[in-house]
Amino acid sequence: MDLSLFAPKTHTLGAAEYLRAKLEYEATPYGLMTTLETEPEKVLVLDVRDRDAFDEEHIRGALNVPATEIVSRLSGLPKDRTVVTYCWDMTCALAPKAALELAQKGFKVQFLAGGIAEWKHKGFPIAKTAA
Amino acid sequence: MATTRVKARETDATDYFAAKLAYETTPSELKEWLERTPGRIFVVDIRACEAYDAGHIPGARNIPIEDIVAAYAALPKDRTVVTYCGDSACGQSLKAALELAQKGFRVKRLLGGLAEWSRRGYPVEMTPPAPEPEC
Repeated sequence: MDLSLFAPKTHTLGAAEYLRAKLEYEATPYGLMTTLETEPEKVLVLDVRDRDAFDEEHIRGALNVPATEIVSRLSGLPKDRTVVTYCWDMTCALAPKAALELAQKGFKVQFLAGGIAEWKHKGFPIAKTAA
Repeated sequence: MATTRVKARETDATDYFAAKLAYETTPSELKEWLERTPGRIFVVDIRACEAYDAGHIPGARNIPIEDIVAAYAALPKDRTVVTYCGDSACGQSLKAALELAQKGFRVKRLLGGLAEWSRRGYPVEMTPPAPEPEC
């Protein structure tokens, strides 16, 4: 775990900036579902959990790139779509960490608020990897 | 409600996710940090005294949100103050963190509050009954 995240930060975002950015860079389950229905070519949904978890269940249409493999698999990700990362739930930091890495590499990113837990809670479609 | 937009600007996204990771923490991160370097962190339970007594994160100090302003002098500026409240629906820890940040404290907010902490089986401490209230 990267405990350097607890180190003091020098940058600051004002409240208005932070909240505007939150609206821009956090997708809600409803927002993502709407985009997938109306403009699916605009997004790539990226599940950053481990493979076993992905195989068990994932957001339908999602690609699995475990958080530990993001850096080595950048070339397989599109720069002409918004990459929407997700992990387990609202307390899982894997998805925002992956989003930060991707943003630093020039990808358009969002992360899914609430992860797969909230997605399922809303009754939105999931899939299993075929055996 | 936020919608999925596609005109993201990379620099803003970097700022945003860096800030999110800097100012929010998860139950597993907090637990690990408390185990490794407890001297660098100061956990504040901003719920009412009765809720705190019934169960809180071990070592947390109880400062009900209405008392935050009066408690500034008792809070350390050389540690990161982590605020939490009941659960993910509680916005009080965010308000407390904002108050403290505006006063120059280093702050983080625990995502999911005590509910997500205890759901993972992490330790929860009760205040033992005492002749005098402890908080």
